[in-house]
Amino acid sequence: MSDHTEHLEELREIVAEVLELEPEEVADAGDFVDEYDADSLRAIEILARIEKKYKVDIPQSELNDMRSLKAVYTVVARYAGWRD
Amino acid sequence: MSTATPLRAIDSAEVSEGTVRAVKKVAADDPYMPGHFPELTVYPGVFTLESVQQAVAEAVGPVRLARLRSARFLAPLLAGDSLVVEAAIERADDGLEVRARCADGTGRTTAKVSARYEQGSRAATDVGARLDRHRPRSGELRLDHDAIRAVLPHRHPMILLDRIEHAAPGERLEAVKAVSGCEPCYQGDQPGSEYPASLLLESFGQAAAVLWLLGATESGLPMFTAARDVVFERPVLPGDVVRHLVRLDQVVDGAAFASGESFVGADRVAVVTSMMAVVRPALTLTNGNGRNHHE
Repeated sequence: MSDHTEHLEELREIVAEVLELEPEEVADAGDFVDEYDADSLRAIEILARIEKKYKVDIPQSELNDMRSLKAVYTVVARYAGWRD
Repeated sequence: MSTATPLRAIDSAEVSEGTVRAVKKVAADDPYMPGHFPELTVYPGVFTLESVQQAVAEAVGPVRLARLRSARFLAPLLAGDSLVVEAAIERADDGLEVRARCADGTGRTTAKVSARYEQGSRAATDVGARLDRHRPRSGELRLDHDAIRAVLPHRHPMILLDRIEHAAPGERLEAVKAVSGCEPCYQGDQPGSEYPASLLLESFGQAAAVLWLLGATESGLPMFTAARDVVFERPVLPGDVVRHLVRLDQVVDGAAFASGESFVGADRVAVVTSMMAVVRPALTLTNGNGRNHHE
């Protein structure tokens, strides 16, 4: 598995766990709020788990953008320095 | 040995095949409620857990909370509000897996709970040697009961901490809670000597709140918003001295995440994988917008 796929699948698992879904239910572009009924506290929980797992600091200003798995990946990749 | 109950957390219940629906009206004069809080009655998140447990007990008989897989508290319930619990109960191995949705009188979801319960009795903890694993280090704080009350808005009888030892503000602390047969959950002739899991979790949460608030600039009422994977390993009984070892893992955008373990003597009684809380000004809870406080 490439780093890209591996990171994406790890993030999918985190998102699925917080949103209480199965990983396969989380589509890459699925909007957390519109499609999965997430609220702002869940977004914060997703951010907190990512920060803990990858030991990165992500500014809270990024929270508004982190509304889909794909968007989360893009933000995390930038702060974690992933070059996938 | 069965579990004590902090309050009657359901007023009525309807049981059907594999499900139970129960209703509770939040009352300011219920046991423990005068202390949560003196100025504004908020039904504690842990009492929602208590409502779910008592609803399940209506369907299957007495149960104990073995593992809280996930709890989310989405909106606060104030005095006069109704809580409607709808729980689906499935038998699994030798326990019960329960998924519950809680709503207020208008149908708005206030909490979601997923938990494992057990039936039958469990051996009590042997009170072993007292823990001496955390020797005081320099720079650590010790808080007596006065100091705890200065930090927390909770009051008697809902202040479920006696002393804080070895606090490194914003980082970790050790909190002491002595369980006594004098507590309201043991009043009357109701059976049960095990300390309620809901109150044990509340006590842990209060320790986490002290840890957070000691190092924080936020002010207001700390609200328990979510828990993930809390395992209750051993019963806690009157006479036990519980020590919560709490770590503050993260504070993100005004939300705090804590984890830790609780011990009686050398025996671990509970493990908290993650607990989440926010601080809300009391005012925002009472106006219309605040009802959906997480938005």
